[in-house]
Amino acid sequence: MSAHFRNRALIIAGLAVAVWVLSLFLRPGAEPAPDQDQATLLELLRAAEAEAAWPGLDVESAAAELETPEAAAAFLRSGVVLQDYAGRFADPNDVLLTRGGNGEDQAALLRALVEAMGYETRLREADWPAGPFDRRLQTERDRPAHHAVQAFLAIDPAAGEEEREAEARALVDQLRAEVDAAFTLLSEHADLAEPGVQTRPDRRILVEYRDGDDAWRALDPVFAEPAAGTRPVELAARSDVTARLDLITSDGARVPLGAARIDPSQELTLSFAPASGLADYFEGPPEPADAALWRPVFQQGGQAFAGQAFTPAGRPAIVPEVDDASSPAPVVNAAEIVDTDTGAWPEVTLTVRTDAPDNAPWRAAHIRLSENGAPVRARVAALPRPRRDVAVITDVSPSMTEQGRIFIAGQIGRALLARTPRPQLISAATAAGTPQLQSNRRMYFNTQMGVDAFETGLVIRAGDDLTAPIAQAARPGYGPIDVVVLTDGEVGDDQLERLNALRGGERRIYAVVPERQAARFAQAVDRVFIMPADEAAAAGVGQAIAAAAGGVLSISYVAEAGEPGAERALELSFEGGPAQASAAFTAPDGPAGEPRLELSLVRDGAVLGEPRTLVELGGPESGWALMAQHALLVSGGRVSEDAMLRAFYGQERWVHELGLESPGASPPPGPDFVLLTTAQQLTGLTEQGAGAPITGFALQGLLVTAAPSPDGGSLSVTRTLDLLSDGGLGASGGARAGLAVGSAEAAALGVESVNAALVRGARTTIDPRTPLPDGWPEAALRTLRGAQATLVAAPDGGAGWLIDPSGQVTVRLFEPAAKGARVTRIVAQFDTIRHRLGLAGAVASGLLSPYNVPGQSVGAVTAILDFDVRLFCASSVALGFLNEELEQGYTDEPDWIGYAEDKCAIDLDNTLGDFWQSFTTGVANGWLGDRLTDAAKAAGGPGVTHSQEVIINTEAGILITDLQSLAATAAALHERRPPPLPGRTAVLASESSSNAAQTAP
Amino acid sequence: MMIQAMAGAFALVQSADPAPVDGAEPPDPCRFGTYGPAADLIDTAPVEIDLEGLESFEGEVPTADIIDPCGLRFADLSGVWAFNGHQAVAYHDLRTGAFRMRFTHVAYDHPYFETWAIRFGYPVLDGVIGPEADALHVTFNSIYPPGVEQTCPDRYRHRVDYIAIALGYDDAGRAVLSGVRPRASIDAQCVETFIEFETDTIVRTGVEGVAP
Repeated sequence: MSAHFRNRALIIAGLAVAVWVLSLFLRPGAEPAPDQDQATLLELLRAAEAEAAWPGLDVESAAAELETPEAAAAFLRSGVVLQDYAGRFADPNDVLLTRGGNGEDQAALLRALVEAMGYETRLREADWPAGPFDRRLQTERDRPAHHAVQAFLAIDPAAGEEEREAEARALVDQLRAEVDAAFTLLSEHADLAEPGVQTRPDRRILVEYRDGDDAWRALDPVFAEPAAGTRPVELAARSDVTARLDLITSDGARVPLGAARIDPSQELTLSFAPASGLADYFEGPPEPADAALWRPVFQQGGQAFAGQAFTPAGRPAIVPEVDDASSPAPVVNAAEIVDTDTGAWPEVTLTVRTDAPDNAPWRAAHIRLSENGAPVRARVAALPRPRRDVAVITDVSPSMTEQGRIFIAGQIGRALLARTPRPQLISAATAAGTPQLQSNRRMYFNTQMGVDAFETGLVIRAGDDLTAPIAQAARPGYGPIDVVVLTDGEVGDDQLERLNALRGGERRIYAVVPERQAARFAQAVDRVFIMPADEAAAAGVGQAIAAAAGGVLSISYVAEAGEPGAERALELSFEGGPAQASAAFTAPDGPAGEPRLELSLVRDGAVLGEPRTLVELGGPESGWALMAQHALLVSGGRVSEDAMLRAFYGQERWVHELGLESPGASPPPGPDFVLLTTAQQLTGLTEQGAGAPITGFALQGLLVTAAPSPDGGSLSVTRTLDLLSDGGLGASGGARAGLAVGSAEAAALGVESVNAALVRGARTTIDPRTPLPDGWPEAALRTLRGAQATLVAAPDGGAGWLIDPSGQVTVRLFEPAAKGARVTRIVAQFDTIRHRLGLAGAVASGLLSPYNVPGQSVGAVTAILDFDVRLFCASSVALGFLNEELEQGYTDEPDWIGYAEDKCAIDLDNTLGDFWQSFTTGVANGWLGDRLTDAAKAAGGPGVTHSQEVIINTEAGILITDLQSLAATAAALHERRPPPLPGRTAVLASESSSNAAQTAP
Repeated sequence: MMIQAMAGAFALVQSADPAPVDGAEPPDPCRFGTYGPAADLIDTAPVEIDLEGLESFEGEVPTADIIDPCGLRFADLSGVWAFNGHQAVAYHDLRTGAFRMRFTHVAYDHPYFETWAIRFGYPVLDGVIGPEADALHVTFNSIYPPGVEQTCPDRYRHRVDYIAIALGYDDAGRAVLSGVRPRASIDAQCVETFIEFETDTIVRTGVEGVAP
C-alpha cells in the first residue's frame, strides 16, 4: 500500500468517524451540558478504562506489569474467560484485547508473557478434568476507578438492583418457556436430538518455565492446580477465519467477489459502493439502474479492501468500467449479434462477433447501442480472448443417482460441449473408484462426436475419486485448460485438498456442485457453478461455463421496464468502423434465476455455520439492499467483564476527548462494545434457554446488518442480528439448544422470537414427502430442495423450524433470507426521499447510535439529517475514488475532495473546519489507525439492553455484577457529553430550523 | 379392439418366495424389510387394452393388480437398477411419488442404440409410486422399429401402461419391480396388433450388480 493510499484511507476514516461523532453529539437528551467538570470526568474515564485494561493490552506491557510467571498465570485464571472452539485462533495480543480464548490460545498468551519476562519455557499437554467444571472466573476485582466514575455521576450502583434482577429473571423464564413450548410441539413431528456428550474441543496446555534454580515449574492458565501426568506438546499454527463474498448468478455460476481475513480482535465491516457512474448515483433517483456497477468494500483496522465489481442484476463485471477515451476504437467492418441473453433481466447481455482483432481494447465508449430507437448505456461485459481447452470430468459414483444428478450432469456436459467449438480441444473422463478416460484432448469437428465420447463413460460405478481422472484428461504441458468437474460433492475433505493441489499453471478447475456443497468447494477450486435441481436449467449452466472459458465480445445494458412479451429491437454500431448489427428479443417476465450475494465464513477450508444470503439481486429493490451495512464479529462467544468495561469506557473516553479537543484522542482498540456484549449475550441466553451449560466446538460468527428501504414517504431501517455460526452450541446442546439460539437472537434485539410466533400462530409442515408450496420465499425453497429435512413453518413460509434427520433443530427466517431476528424502525421521516444522497445520509445518521440511543428518536435525527447527509456523501464519494484506485491503480491523484465538495454541497474547509483540522491532525498522529467506519458497528447499538444483558449472563454463570449499573452510567455520561464544536453549532442552528418545517410528522 | 379382463389373479412376487420345504414355514416375503402397510389390490379396475388381436390370446389375461406386501412404495426406490441387463438409474421423488427410470450409457454397438438410437438418459419408465396404492402406476416407454417413424410418426414412440405391478424382494434381498404389459406390432396403416403379454422384472442391483 502506498503512502498516498494510506493517507487517503485514513482521511476517509476521518470523514466516517466525523459522521458518527456528530450524530452522537446531537441526539435527544444530549443538549450541551454546562458541566464545569468535564476535564475531571475525562480523567476519571481514562482511569476506569485503564483499570479494566490492567495489566495491559500488549504482551510487553502486561509482562512488565505482572512481573512474575505466577502472577501472569493468576491473571489468566482470573481475567481471561475460557472459550470453546477447536484449534488456535487468536494471538496473545488478541487475547489481551478480548480477554477470552480457548485452552491453546490462553497457553500461547501465558507463554508469551513468561518469555517476555526472560524465562525459558516449554509446553506440556494435560487431560481436561473428566467431569464438568466451573468455567466462571474465580476472582472478583475491586474496581475503584469504575466506582469513582459512578460516584462522580451520583449513581448508586445498588439502586434498583432488585428490580433489574427480577426483570432479568422474568426474561429468562420467558425464554425457557418459549423453548419448552417449541420443543414439546416439535416432539410430535420428530425424534429431537438430545444434548451430546460435552467434550472440550481444545487442548489443555500447561506452560513450564525454568526458574533461577534451573528447575521447571508448571503454570496452568485455566486451573489453580496444574495437572499431573503431562506430556510434551507444541502449539499448532493459528487458523484464520476468512469472510467470503460470492455472487450467485441467475444461471448458477458462483463468482467470488472478495474475501477478507477477520481479525480476532476487530469487527469486519462490509458495505457496497458504486464502482462507476458516481455522478448518476448521487443525482438520480434510487433505482438499481443508477449505478451500473457495485463493489463490495471490506473494512477492518483502518484498511479497506475493495472486491470485484458486479451489476445490480447479478452479473460479474468481468471488465472494469473505465472511461478511457484514449484507447483507440477497434476497427469494425463486420459485426453480428449472435446471442441475446435476458436471463438476468432487466440486464441484457449481447454476444457480438466482429472482425476486430481478439486483443482489441474494447471500451464502452466505442459502442453505440439503442433499444427501440432510444440510446442505452452499454458496457463491455467480456472481451474476446483466446479460448482455453476444456476437460469434462463427471462423477459417476453411486451418490450421483440421487435427485437424478447424473442426468443433470449429462445435460450440463452436453450443453458445454455444444458451445465449445473448435479450435478448442475437448477431453472427457469419469470419476469413480477407478478413473476412466473417455477422450484424450482432441479437436472434434463434429460436436456430436464430442458428446458421444463424453457420454461413453456415464455409467454408475463404485468408489469416489475426483482427482485421478483430472490427471488423465488434463495433463499439464499441453496448453491452458479448464477442468470442469460435475459432481454432487459427496466426497471427503481429502478430495478437496487434492483438487486444490491440482490447480495452478495452465490448469483451472471449475466445480459444478449442488448448492449445499458450493461454499465448501469454493475453497478448493477456481470457480464454482451450482448444479440446478432439474435438467431444464442445466443448459444455462453449461452455457455459463463455456462463457467462462473465454471467447467473444459481450455487451450488456439495463433495459427499460415494460410489458413482458413486448418486442425489443436492438441496433448496434461502432465508433471505429461502419459495421452495424441488429437483433430483436421479447421482454421476459423477469430474471430466469435468483441472483444473490452470499456471505460465508471459512476456516481451514470448511464453512463455519451456514452461508447467508446478504442481498437478493435482480429485483427492483436490489439497489436499496445494496445500501445495507454489515458488521461481522468472530469470537469465542464469552468475554470477560474487563473486556466489556474497557470497551465501554474507551468509547466514552474517546467521545469526551474529541469533544474537548484533547490532544492525542484515539479510539479504543479491540472489538466494539456493543458487538462484544451481543456475542456474550447470545452465548449466555442460549445456555439459559437450553437449561444447561453447553460446550460448543466452533467459533461464533455474529452478523449485524442495517438495511434501509423506502416506506411510503418515510425511510425504514431494518436491523438484523444473525448468527452465521452459533459456535457449535446447537449441535452440542441438541434440539433444545437449537431452539434457544433462535430465542437468544430475538432477545438480543428485543423482538419476539420465531419460536414464540410459531407456537402461537398457524403452522404447516413440509416433510420429505410433501410437495414444495407455491409462492414461498425462494430462500425457503432452496433450503428444502433435495433435503431430507422437515420444516415446520408459518403458512407463508417466512419462518420456521428446520429439523434435520438427526433431530437437530435450527430456527430459520426466510423472508428476508436470514436466520435470526430483525426489527424495523422508522429512523427518519422525509416529506420526500429526494434522492439517494438522502438515503446514504439517513443510514449514517440514524444508525450511528451506540449505547442505547432510542431508535424511535426520529425528530432529532431528522433535524441533523441534511447536514450529515452531506458529510456522509463526502465520505462515500471518497470511498468511491478509493475503490477505483484500488482496481485501476491510478497514478494521478484525482481531486476527490473537490469533487466531494461539489457533489455533496459541503465545504469541508469552512463548515467543518474545526473537525477537519482535528481529524487531519489525528491522521498525522495515527489516531484513527483501527477505526474506519462506524456505521455497521453502531447498527448493533440500540438493541442491547445493558441491565438485562448483564444480569442474564450472571444467571448463565458468568458473573459480571459490576456491570449491572452500567446502563445508568451510560445514561448519565450521555448527559455530560461535551457540546459540539463552535462551527458545528452554527450550522445546526440553521439546518435544524430549515428541516423542522419539512419533517413535521 | 377393447377387451375387459375381469378375472384372474396374478402374483408376480412368487418367484421371490420359493415353495416351502415339506413341513417348513414359507419364508416371510418381507424378511428384508417392511416400509409401510401392505397393498394387495386385485381386479381393481377393468383392464383396457386397445389393440387388435387380443381376442385370439389363449392364455390368462392378467388383471389390474397392485401387489406390495412389504410397503416398498413407501421406501425411497432411487438408485441403480438393472433393466434387461442394462444399467438404469431410478429417481424416486418422495415428495410427489414421481418415479422415473432412465438408462445410463448404452453401448454404441448394442441394438438399443443401433436400432432405436436409445442412449444415455433414455427414460425407460415413468410413473407414480407413492403411499396411495390405488394411484400407483408405471409406464414403459416403448419404441417401434425405425421404419415406423416414417409411416406412423405419432405412434413410433409410445407409452405402454403396466397393467399389473408388484413390488417385492428377490432371494438376495434386492428390491424387485415387476410389471406386465402388452406387446404389439404395428402395420403400415398404423393398426397395432397384440402379440403377447410381457413381464419385465427390474431389479435394484446397486452398482456392483450390473455389467455396464
